[in-house]
Amino acid sequence: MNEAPNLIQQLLKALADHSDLVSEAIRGPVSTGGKRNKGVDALIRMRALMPVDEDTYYLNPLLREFIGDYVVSYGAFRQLAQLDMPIRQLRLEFDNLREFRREGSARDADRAMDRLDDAVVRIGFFMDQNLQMLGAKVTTNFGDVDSVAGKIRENKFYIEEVRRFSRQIVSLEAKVQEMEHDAVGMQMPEVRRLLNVRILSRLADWTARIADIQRVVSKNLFALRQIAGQQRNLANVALWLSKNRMSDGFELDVAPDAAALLAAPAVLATTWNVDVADNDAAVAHGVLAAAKRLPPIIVAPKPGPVESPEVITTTQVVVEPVVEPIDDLIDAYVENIRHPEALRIGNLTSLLQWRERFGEAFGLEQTITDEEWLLYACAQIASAGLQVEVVARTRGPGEYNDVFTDAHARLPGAMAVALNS
Amino acid sequence: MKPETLNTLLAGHFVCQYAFPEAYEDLSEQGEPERVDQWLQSLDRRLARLGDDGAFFVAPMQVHTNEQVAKVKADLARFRDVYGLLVEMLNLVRLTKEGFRGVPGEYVQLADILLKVNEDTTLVGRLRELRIPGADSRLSNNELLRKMLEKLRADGYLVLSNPSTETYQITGKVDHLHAVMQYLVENVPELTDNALPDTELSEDEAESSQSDLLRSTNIDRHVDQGGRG
Repeated sequence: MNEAPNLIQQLLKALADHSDLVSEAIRGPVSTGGKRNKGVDALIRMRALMPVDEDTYYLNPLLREFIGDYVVSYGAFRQLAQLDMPIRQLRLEFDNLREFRREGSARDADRAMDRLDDAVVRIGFFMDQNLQMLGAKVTTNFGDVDSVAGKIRENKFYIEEVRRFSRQIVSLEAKVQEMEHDAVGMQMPEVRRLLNVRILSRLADWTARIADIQRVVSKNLFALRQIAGQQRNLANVALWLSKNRMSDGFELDVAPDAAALLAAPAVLATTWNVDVADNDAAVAHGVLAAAKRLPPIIVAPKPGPVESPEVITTTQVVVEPVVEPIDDLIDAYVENIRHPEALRIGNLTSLLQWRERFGEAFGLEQTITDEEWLLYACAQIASAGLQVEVVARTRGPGEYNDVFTDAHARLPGAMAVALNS
Repeated sequence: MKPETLNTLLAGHFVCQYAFPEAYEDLSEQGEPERVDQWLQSLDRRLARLGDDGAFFVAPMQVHTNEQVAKVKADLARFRDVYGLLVEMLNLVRLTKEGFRGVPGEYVQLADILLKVNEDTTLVGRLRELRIPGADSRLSNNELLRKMLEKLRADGYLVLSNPSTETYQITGKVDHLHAVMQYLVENVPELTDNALPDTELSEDEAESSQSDLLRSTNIDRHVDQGGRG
């Protein structure tokens, strides 16, 4: 009866004694040599190591799996534990239990109950193991393979595994609910409680976790495809740069939506000024310190009060035109024609005589000739509105111009009538 | 709506969880993007984001579409000047870093890529062809690579996550570059050639990322030789 525990103890002791060898075997095959011979022999006896080739030994896959679970280390493309068989086993044990109960075989029924219990525990164990492995895979981003292509393939592999696992969970739920229903009908409350507590109550949690993993794995696949594409793009563009050393770039039409994606960030230069009205202690201190560094203020003398200018006059000075003596003489002549009584000079109308008589009196010097006098006086008198008649001699034979020797002025017809009346 | 967050956005940065973790956390709070967007609208700007969970940045309002289109066209026409060095530097990191993905958050360690460069003369050639500001041919591979990573950091594509080990982390800004390259690949027929092997060709081809690295290196080398010839 004590043999089994001893064997277990021997096994565990052998593993502990040669733990370095076991650790090495986890990573790959081991071989004998030197001090290792004894350890290899011991582990082979315990079936912990398995010879696969000449002097080449592998760790027992079951032991590797057990240790791998413990250290959360899994090989690439490791399949998920299949639930179909444990589910069938569960159903088988349940049927056995039902039959033994019906037959009244208490002892067999108890054993069947124990086996049913084991089957339930096994299902829970496999569920947890699968979820733990998937969690490790997605958190390390399939770190057990190095190449991107390998990661993509492993990702795709686990997408299929997760799908299959999801289908098995659905199947498990249906089977367990069926058994639970049967257990109620057959008066087996402890079986119903067992199924409820160990499986049905945990199904929601398992389903949620597998859904999360499925989402991450799907996203990873997409991301890995992107990564592979990005590396290819980088290689292609770098290749183009080295092949086309004379080319500067690409003349491309860019659509507005693409421009929004490709545009570099817009830099907005920002600066700030001190708010001198800020009464915060730090700001005020800074302002005062800055003010002390300023050069001294030069005070300019204040100008005296500005008085309004005094207004002396607002009349504009009119400059009278200077009247020449010749113009005075002409004005007197015109006055004489218009008002002969006022000047008491009678009917003196000859311009030559007028000049001769009053020229000196008006200050007109003998600097102008008779001809100049007559020409200027006739024009001025005509502009004053009087009618001028010239005294011309009769044209001689062959003369075509009239030669005048004097001129007279008189009032025009209408004006003369008005003055006389 | 913290002032530091707004200042970071207005300075033209891409706010991701690696480059500006506090600002990113601020913008990730419920309703915060809407509030910031509303505030930016008064400045004739809007809050934009690279993808569903990428970096935040400030973009012009839709009414400025014409200017935006003109700017993007000009940048693409001067692609070599605007993006060329950046693409070549990131491509060198891709060729030297096993399992490189070029995604935000990925680590790049100077020692790792230096090791790869020193093992491969073609990679050394690529490194020495880069026109990194402040670098010249007298510098060692180590110094050139350090300058390259520092240039990427100065341009906002990397942050120094561990100075003692010279380990950098890719920021969310790289998604913008990926978007530009994606647009080019979709619109420029010359760029649809497969510089990288199809990742789904066969199991064997993808088993080892090292084989991908060698294959792409060989292809690039072949093209380079062809180009020189």
